[in-house]
Amino acid sequence: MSQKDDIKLYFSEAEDLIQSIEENILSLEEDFKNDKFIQNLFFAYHTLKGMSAMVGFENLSKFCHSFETFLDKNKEYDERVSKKDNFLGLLFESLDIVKEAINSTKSGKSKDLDGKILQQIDDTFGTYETEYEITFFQPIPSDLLDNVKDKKDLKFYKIFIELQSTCVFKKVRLFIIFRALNKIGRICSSNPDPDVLEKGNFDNRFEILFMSNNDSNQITAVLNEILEIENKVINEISNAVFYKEVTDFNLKYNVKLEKGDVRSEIEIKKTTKTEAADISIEIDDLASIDSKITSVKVNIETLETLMDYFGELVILKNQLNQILKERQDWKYSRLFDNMDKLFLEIQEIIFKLKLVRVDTTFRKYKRLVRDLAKETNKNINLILEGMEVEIDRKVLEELNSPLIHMLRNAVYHGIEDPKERNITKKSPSGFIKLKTYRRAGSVYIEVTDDGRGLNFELIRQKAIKKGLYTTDEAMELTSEELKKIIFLPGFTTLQGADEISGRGMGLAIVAEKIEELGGSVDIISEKGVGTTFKLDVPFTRAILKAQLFKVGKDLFAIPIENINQIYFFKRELIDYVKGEEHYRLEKKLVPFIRLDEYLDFLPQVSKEASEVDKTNSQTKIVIWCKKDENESAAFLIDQILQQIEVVIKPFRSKYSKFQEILGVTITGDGSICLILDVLNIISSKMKRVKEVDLVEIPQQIKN
Amino acid sequence: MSKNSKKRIMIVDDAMFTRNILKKIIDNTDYSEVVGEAANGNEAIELYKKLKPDLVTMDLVMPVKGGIETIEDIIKMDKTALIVVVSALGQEALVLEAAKKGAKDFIQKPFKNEQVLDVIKRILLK
Repeated sequence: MSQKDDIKLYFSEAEDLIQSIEENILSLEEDFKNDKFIQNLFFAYHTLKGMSAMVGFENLSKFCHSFETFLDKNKEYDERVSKKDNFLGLLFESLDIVKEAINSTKSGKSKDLDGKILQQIDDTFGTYETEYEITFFQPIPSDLLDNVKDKKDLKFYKIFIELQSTCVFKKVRLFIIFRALNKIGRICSSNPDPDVLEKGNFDNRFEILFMSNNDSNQITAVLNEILEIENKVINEISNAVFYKEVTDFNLKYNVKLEKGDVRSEIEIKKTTKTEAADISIEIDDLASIDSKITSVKVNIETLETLMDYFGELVILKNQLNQILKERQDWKYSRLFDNMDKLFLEIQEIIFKLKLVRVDTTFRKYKRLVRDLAKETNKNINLILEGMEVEIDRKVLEELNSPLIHMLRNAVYHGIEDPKERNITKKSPSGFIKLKTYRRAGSVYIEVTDDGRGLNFELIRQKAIKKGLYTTDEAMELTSEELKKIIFLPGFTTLQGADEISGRGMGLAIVAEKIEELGGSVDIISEKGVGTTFKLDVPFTRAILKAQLFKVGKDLFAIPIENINQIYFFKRELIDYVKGEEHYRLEKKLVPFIRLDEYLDFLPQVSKEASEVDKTNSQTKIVIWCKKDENESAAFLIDQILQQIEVVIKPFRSKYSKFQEILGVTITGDGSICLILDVLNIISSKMKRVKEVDLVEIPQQIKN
Repeated sequence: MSKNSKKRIMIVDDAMFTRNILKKIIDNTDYSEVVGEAANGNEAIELYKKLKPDLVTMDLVMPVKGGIETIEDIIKMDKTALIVVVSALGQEALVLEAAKKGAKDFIQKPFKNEQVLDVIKRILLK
């Protein structure tokens, strides 16, 4: 065979090997415990190594060799179990390098794998070991915890350690301490979190929960051997306290149940599958079964259908109930009232089934940020907070691309490279924090970076350049207005098109997506300090307790959770601030909204009725709704009715131009009732109007 | 624990200057003495076999065979070997590596006399 044919064959075989490698990595990702995939990878790289050497690709061959060594060192499941993300990350990275090298040599762009990369990759493999498990402890999975908490000879301790202030190599010091303790027992949790400890970013003090067969004298003796400990306190605690704290820690730290935790130094009896069938339902026994099926997969559409049917069922039940009440058939009516609770509980359950922890998606961003940071040669850490918050699965899906975009922005434009950070005396590693929390009726997601912050001047200039404003107009723009500009399509302060972030379409699409979900985006930024993008997405529970009321002849409802207080309307409490009506409520002047006028655009509101009622102000009611600390409004309505429990079918985005409506429901007697999204209404109103605090202003009595 | 016999320490460092300082500190007590010195990894391993000291102080950066490799080899020979790493500032990653390979503890240069003696007291005199 000629040399040319050799090469052709090489490339063809290399392609196959690459394919196989990719498949095996993906399979490994699915089934991390399976060593077979590691073996396959080993074999593939080994073959590639030989082939590459034969056709003269020395560097590529050496690379495969390095990778083989790396794989060999980490092939044991024990070795890789705690470093899963990092390990997989390296596998993918290595594959990318090989792909790139093959493509490059195939197209003739280069003669071999770049030698520099070889050195880099050796360093990467080298530091891989040291990147994780510095604190050398494995959080104890909950099923193991259940097994050991009642063991008679085990003692539980809370150990507090303070390092000497002169301790410089904190990570090493921690490693030595933890190693010594793990020899005589098991560390189950730490405060601060292991992540924090691993980075060495703690102020010399930490606490751990420790279990051991040894008594505190023995523990003290072990710790006495170690240098640089200023202070140590060893407290024995009850197994109940220990159990609770470790369980809380596990929840926070999201300890995954790795089946067959071989790192345990405490013996556990394992029951086989056949025994499992005989075991009676006692809590203790259940804890020792490690192969019980505890969950099933359900199609989301199925859940939604279930939800819909139940919603219809509730409406029918209400209608029946209404009929019975009208007939004064109390016996049956009471039965229906009793059924109410059950219906609602079931609906709650179904609703909860559709909820998923943001953790499942957000955790993946760690790798994304890592990859992006590497691409741009920056040091960036992604910190995740509030990962236990649950939101609707669909919403989470929709949020994925906007969030990824914002994270990319933070990496590319927000955080400066180490050199620049050095000049501005910032720490060499930047951080991005993704924080999720629920408040009132919304889910808030904040993407914060400690980078350079928005450059308002640059935005101003760009706005002028694009012809959006004249120079004079632009100079007048407030930072609030400038912030809004960056959401305009086609707007970017980047020079040239950034191939990842696109041509400035990103933020516009983000804003649109969020609006579709009924939410909003806000930016807080300080030059040189950082930027926070705050997403506000409504978290509408499908079953709501709402206050029913009338405006004119029409029925509306407001979710109870949004209602602060209800008052009788007193005309004298109206005051004007900057020409806008406000209402005096508890030492504040709060924006006043006459719902009959406000909802004017809705064909439902009957004007005639409201005009009649205007004269008879005695019977009117004011509902005070609060969105936030300083954001609320007083709504004027005509007649207050009862509280109802409603099942909402939220509008799809098609109807989202009616931002003020949360959904619709049908009351017992068949009337249609629109449920108002007061939070949204308040937001819109607050854009023009403010709350005013009244402090020591005497009450004016108007005649 | 008998304190009758002095604890036997072996010093490994490629700089005679450092070896001398350590020797002075260690010999100046009634509970410890230097029984051997090595200037590189290979010497260290040979000497260890012969002397079986109670404790080894190990410099990390040495020519021919570095401290970490030496630690690995000594531990392979004798699992109970007690090795204390002597490191310079800025070598945290290396020190961690050494700890993972089996080093018992570490002290940093420039060190105070008390630190060296503290190590010996804590680890050897219980």
